Amino acid sequence: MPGLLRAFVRVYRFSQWTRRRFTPAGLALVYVLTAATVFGVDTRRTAAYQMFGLALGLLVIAAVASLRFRPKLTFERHLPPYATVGQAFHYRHLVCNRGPRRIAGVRLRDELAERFPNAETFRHARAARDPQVNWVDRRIGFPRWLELVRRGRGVDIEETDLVDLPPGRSVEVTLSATPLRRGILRFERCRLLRPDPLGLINASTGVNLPGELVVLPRCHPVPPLALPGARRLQPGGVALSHNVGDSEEFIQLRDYRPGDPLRRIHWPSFAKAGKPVVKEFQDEYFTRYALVLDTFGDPASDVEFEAAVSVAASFVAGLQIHDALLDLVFVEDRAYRLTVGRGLGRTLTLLRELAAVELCQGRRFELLAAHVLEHAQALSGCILVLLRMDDERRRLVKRLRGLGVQQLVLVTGSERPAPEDGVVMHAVNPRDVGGSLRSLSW
Amino acid sequence: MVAAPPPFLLAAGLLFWGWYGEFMAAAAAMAIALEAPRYLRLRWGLSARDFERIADLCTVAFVSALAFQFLQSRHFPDSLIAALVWLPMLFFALLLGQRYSIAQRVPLSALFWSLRHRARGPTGERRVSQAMRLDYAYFCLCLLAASSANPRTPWFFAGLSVLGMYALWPAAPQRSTRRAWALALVAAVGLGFAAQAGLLRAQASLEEWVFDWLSHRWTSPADLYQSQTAIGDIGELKASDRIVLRVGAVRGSAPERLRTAAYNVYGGGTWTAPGQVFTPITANNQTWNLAPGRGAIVRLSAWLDHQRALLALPLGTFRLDSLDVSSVQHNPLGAVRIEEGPDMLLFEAQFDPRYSLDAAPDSVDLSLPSGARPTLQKVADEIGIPDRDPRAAAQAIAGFFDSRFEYSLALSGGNGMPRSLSQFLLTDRRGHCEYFATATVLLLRHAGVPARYATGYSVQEWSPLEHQYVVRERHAHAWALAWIDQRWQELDTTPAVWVAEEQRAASALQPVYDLLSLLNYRVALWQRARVDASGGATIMLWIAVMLAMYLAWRVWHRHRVRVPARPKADSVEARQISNPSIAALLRALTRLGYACPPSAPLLRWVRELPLADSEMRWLLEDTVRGYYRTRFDPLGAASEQEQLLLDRRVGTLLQRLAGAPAQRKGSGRIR
Repeated sequence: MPGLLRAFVRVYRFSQWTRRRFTPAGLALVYVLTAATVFGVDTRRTAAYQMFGLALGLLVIAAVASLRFRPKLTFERHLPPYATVGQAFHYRHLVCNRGPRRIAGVRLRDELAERFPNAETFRHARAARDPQVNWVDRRIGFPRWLELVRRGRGVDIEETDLVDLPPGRSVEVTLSATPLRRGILRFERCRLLRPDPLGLINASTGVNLPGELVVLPRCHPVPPLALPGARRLQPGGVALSHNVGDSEEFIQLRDYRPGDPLRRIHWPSFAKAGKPVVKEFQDEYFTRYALVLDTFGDPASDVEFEAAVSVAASFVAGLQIHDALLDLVFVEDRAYRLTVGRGLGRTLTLLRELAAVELCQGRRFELLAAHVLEHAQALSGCILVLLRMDDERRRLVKRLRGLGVQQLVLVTGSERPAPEDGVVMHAVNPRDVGGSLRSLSW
Repeated sequence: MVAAPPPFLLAAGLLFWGWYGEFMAAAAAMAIALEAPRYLRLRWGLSARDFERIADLCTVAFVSALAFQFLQSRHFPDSLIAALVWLPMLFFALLLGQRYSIAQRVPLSALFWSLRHRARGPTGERRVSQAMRLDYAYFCLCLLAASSANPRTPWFFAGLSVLGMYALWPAAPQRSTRRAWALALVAAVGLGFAAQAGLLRAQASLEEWVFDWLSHRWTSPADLYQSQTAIGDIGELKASDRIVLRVGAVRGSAPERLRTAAYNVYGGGTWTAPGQVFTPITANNQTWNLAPGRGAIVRLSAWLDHQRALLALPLGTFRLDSLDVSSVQHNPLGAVRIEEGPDMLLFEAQFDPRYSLDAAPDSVDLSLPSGARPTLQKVADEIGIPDRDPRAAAQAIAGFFDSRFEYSLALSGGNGMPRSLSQFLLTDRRGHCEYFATATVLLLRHAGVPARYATGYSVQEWSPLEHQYVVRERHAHAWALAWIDQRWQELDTTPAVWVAEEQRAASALQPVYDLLSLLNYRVALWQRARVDASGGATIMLWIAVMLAMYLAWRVWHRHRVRVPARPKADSVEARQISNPSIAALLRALTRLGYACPPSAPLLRWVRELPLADSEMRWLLEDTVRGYYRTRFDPLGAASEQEQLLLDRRVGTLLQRLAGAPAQRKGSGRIR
C-alpha cells in the first residue's frame, strides 16, 4: 500500500507539473509527439517520424524560449476572514512589478498546501463513494485518492490573467473560489506563468506566500422551532453558566414569563406598565439547551459526520433561542462545552470550532454521554445530532428522558432510527441536509 | 474545453490527407461537409446518448477496418498502420455530429466508456458530463493518417509545417509580436526538419549496426547478411515438419532442388561468401527480370517470416512474376534477396538450369583449406579421380559416396564435439547432407573442378491433397555446384535414403499440422484473390458509405432546429440600441475587435472584457450603468441629467479608445 501511495504521489506531481508547464496547445503537441513516436518508430513504414520531428522542434524551441523568466515582483494576498463550504468567496491579489520592464501576458496561479492521505485514510475512504466508478478505478483507487487530495487541499483555484504589469506599478486582481470542505485552507505560494512566443510552454516563477483562511461549515436554514422545556435553576446565573462571575445580584427587569415565581414580580413596574414585570437576578431560572454533536465514528462515516457538523452549524447559526443559552457539546481530544446566548460568546466562535472539529477515534461514546449527563440537570432541552442510533446512544436518550430533558434527536446515518417514546426523532439525509432540516419540527 | 480551430483548418487537414492517402474526392466531400455549417443554419439537437451511439459506430468501423487489414496482412503492426490511413473516414461521423449539433461539443462520455457510468445518476437519470470540441484532435488524426500513407517527399514535411503553423496561430500569446512568433516558428521548423532527417539516418545506421552485431553472434543457413553457414546448421532444421514452401509446376517439370544461397570459401567447418554485393533488380509491374529467356515455370508459395529474406529458387531462375515485394536484389553467387512483402508470397519463377546466372568461377572456387589437403589427397587416391575431365571426376566422386558411405543425422563426433571432415571421410563414413556436400566440393576442387557449396531445400514430397509439392523445414538440404561444360551444375552426392530416413522421424501429428497448414494457405489465397479482384479501398469505401447513410438516416429524424442568423460583428443595430452615444461607443469597440454578442447583457459583457486598464473598465461599467438608468429609470426628470452625464462619459471613452490598438483576431487586450 505505501508503495502504491508513493506511486500515486509521483503521478500526481508529474501531472501537476505538466499542467503548470504546458499550455493546452503544448500539451496537445506532447500527445502528438507521443503518437508520432509510437507510429513513427520505423521510419520506413510511415512518415510519422516527420510529425515527430516537427513536434519535437516546436517543443524544444518553446522550452528554450521559456528558460529565461526572472521578473522582480512582489505579491500581496488579501484573504477574507471567513468563507463557507460550498459558497464562493473572493479575495484580492496585489502584484507589483519592481523591475524595469513591462511584463505582459502572464497568468497568476495561487497554490495551496497539498495534504496527501495516509494509508489508513485511503483504506478507510469509502471505496464505493461513487458507485458509478468503474471496476478498474475502484480497484486501483487512484480517482478516490485524487478526490481525497482535492478535499485535503480544500479548494480549486483557477489561474487568472494578469494581462499587463507596467514597471513600478501594481495590479490588483480578484480571484474567486468555492471551498470544498470546512477547516483551514493553507495557501502556500504564488506563481506567475508566462507562455513562450509560440504559446506552448510556460515559464514559471513563484514566491512562498503563506496564508490561512477559515472555512466554516455549511449552514442551512432551520425552521422556527417551538423549543420546549421548563426553565431550570442555573447555579451561578448567566455569568457562571460560562464559568465566569461570582455575584447573586439584581440585573434587570423583564417581562413575566409563565413559570416565573410570583415573588419575583416587581409590583411597581407592574402597576406602571400594566403587565407583569419580574426582577431578574444573576442566579436564576432560565432556559438552557444543549446541542450535542456526536463525533464518534470511523473514517468511513465521514459523509455522515460532515452532515452532522453541518446540522450543528445550522442550529448554531439559525436557531431562534431568544434569551436562552445554547451549549455546544462535543468530544475531540477532550470534552468541550461552549455556550452562546444572553450576551455570552459569539455564534462565530462556535462556528469556528465547528469548522475545525474532527472525528474522535480511539475513544468511546460514553465519554460524551457522561459529559452531557453531568450537566443534564440544568438543561431544558437537548438537541442530539448523532451519526447513528446504536445501544450506547439509545441509552443516553433514555437517561436524558428519565431526567426530564426534552430531546430532539437527529440521526445522519443512512438507517432510519427506530422511534422512541417521548423523543422526537428525525433522520437527516446526509446528501440533502438542507432538505431534511426544512421539514424539521419539534 | 478546447478552443475552436481557425477557419478551414479541418478542410486543409482533410485535403492534405486526401492528397497523400489518394482519397482526394472523398476528402474534398468530407471537407465541404465539415465546413458547410459555417454557412448553413441547420443544426440538430443531439443528446449525449446520440453521441455515444455515433462514437460506438465509429469504434466498430475502426475495429472492422483493423480486422480486415489484419486478415489481409496477418501482421498486426502492418494492419494497424494500414488502418490508420482510414482514420479520418472512420471517425468522420463523430466530427460531423459535433459540427452539426447545437452544442458544438462532444460529451466525454462518448469517448470514454468509464465516464458513461458516471454520466448516469443513482436512479439512472443522465447527468451532464463534460464536453469538448474534437476539431484539433481530428486535425491531428488527419495528419497522422496522411503520414501512414508513407509519402516519401520533402513536400510532406513542408505541408506539415504550414498546417502546423496555421493550427498553432491561435495559441500564440497576445504579448508575443508577430516577428518573435515567426522567428520561433522558423527555428522550430528548421530544427524539426533536421530532427526528422537525423531520425531517418539514425534508423539506417542502427539497423546496419544491429545486423552486424547479430551476424557475429548468430547465423542461419540462409543468412546472407553474414554470408556464412556452419556444418550442423541444416541438421538443426531436420527436426521440424513445418511446411515452408509449396511448389507447383506450371510449365515443364518441377525442380528437384530450390537453392537459397551458395558459398565459395571454406574454413574451420564454416562456409562463407565474402565480399558478395547484392545488386538491385528493376521491376515491371511485379515482374522482376534477371535475364531474358524462356524456360520452365514453377509456382512457388512461401511464408515470409521477416521483412528481408532470401528466396529459395531453382537453379537458373531468370524471371520472377507476380512477386509483390518492394525490392529484389541478387548477388554473383545466385542468392536472391527480397524486402518488404506480404506474409505469404505467391509467385512464379521461370528457370532453365542450363543457363545459370551465377558468376563464372574464379580462383576462389578452387581454393582449399590447407589443413584438409592430406585428407583430400588420401581420399582422391582411394577414388582414383581422373584428371582433366570434370564430368568423369564428378561421376567418380558421386559413385564413391554412393557406394561407401551411409546417411546419418548424428552431428556429434562422439565426444560431444562436432565431427571433423577427416573423421567423416576416413573413419566414420557416415553423415548428413552438409558433410557430403562439403566433401564433394572440396574433392572436386582438389581434382581441379571449380565448385561451390549450395544450401536450400529438396523438393521431393508430392501432396495428393494439394496437387503440388510441399517442402518442409526438414527438407532443408545442401549440395555441390560444379563447373562442368562451362556452366554450373548441381551435384547431390547425399545417399538417396536420406528422404526415407527423415520421413521415419516425422511426428505422428504431422497430418493434423498439414491440414491446418493447408487451411491457412487456402485462407491466404482467398484473401489475396479478394484483394486482387476488388481492392481493399473499395470495400472500405463501401463500409464508410453505408455507415454514413445509416447515420444520416438516424440523425435526420432527430430534433432539428434552425439557428438564428448571426448578425455581423459590427452591426450594433442588431441590439436595437436607441441611445446614440452608447451606439457610437459600441461601434468604436466593435472596430477595435470587441464585438458585443446581441444576446449578452451589456454590463456583464463589459465586465468580462479583457481590459488591462482598470480605469477604462471602471469608466465603461459606469457608462453602462448610466445607460441603464436612462433607459429604465421611471423618473423622467432624472433621465435628462443622466443623458448629459452619459454623453460626457462616452466622449471621454471615445477619446481614449481612439488611441487604443486594435485587437488581433482571437483574444486580445486593450492596453
